Amino acid sequence: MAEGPEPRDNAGRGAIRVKTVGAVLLLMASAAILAETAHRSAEYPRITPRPQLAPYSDPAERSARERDAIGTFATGTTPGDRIIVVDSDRRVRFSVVGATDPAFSSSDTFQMESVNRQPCLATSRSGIITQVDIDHLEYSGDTYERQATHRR
Amino acid sequence: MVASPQARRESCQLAGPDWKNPEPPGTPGLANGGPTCLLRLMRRVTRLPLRVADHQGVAAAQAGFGMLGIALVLFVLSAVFALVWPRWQHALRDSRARATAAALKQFDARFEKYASEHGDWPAGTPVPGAYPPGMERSLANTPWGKPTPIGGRYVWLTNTYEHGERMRACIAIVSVPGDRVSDDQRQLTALDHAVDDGNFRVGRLRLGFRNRPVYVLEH
Repeated sequence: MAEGPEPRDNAGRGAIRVKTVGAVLLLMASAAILAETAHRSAEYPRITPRPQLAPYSDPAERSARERDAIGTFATGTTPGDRIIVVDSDRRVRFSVVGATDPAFSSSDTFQMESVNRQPCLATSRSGIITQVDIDHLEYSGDTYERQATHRR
Repeated sequence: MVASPQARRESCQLAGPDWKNPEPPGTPGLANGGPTCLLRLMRRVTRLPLRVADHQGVAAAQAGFGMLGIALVLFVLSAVFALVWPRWQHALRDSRARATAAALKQFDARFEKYASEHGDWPAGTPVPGAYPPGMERSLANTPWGKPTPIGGRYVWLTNTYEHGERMRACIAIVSVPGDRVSDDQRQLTALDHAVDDGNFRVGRLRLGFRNRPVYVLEH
């Protein structure tokens, strides 16, 4: 009679353990569901995908690429065409041919990096300007040609 | 069946003194075994000390059940949230796209009216949200100048080069400091569907310079 309550205690403890483990598993599952939902919300398909940039490990090569990029490039010479000016102080200026309003102009800083083994100017706010060759840049789907008057 | 006063006194004595709330001797309830005695008995029974193991078991069982219940509720809420949230986001994108498309069509009608009256489009105003000259009254009761439902501001552009194409007249949606245009492809596709065909390459709505949405009036 004195040993009667012990099996009941053990069964009770077992049930408690099962409940606690079940609760912990449910909490972990809830956390996983919430994390996955948050991840899917944050990782949406962007209209401009972020490219995989690779920095130049050799400073000499980076400097040479930067020197190659310096100059004025434009989509054309008629009013409305777009201009990109790459300065030696790692700044890039955007403007429009014939536009006097400063709202048409903007500037940004850049780092010389590469994307798909092609040199590019990775700007801090304006995206990627790809250097197609020494006389051509590509930006936002447009090709910019080096202007003869500004050729180095 | 009614117990005599003597029997009630005896039962009360059996219950023993309340060691926690001793009543002063000579209390009327004690003297004749009245309602106070019954209360004492109940109080004593409820305060009977449980065996430690039993006490811990009950407490742990209650705690375990409570935790399981809370976890179950949280799990159900998380599952419901995971199901509802994407649908709600989808509905929100559609709603924003429809509102933006409606505003663009409203502007389109006003600009077309101006062009038919003046023989040309109003001069381009590159400042986001600024009213083109001569359009102040016409656009006064429209969302022009206000933040667009997909972020940024409307801007009127003429003779502009957008993504390889020269546009004679268009309305662009541009980012301004502190209010960027959505770059969510699903949002912009929903906008294109609301305006015309869902294809950015053709139709009224296209992607322009820096992939900003451009509503073409003439090109």
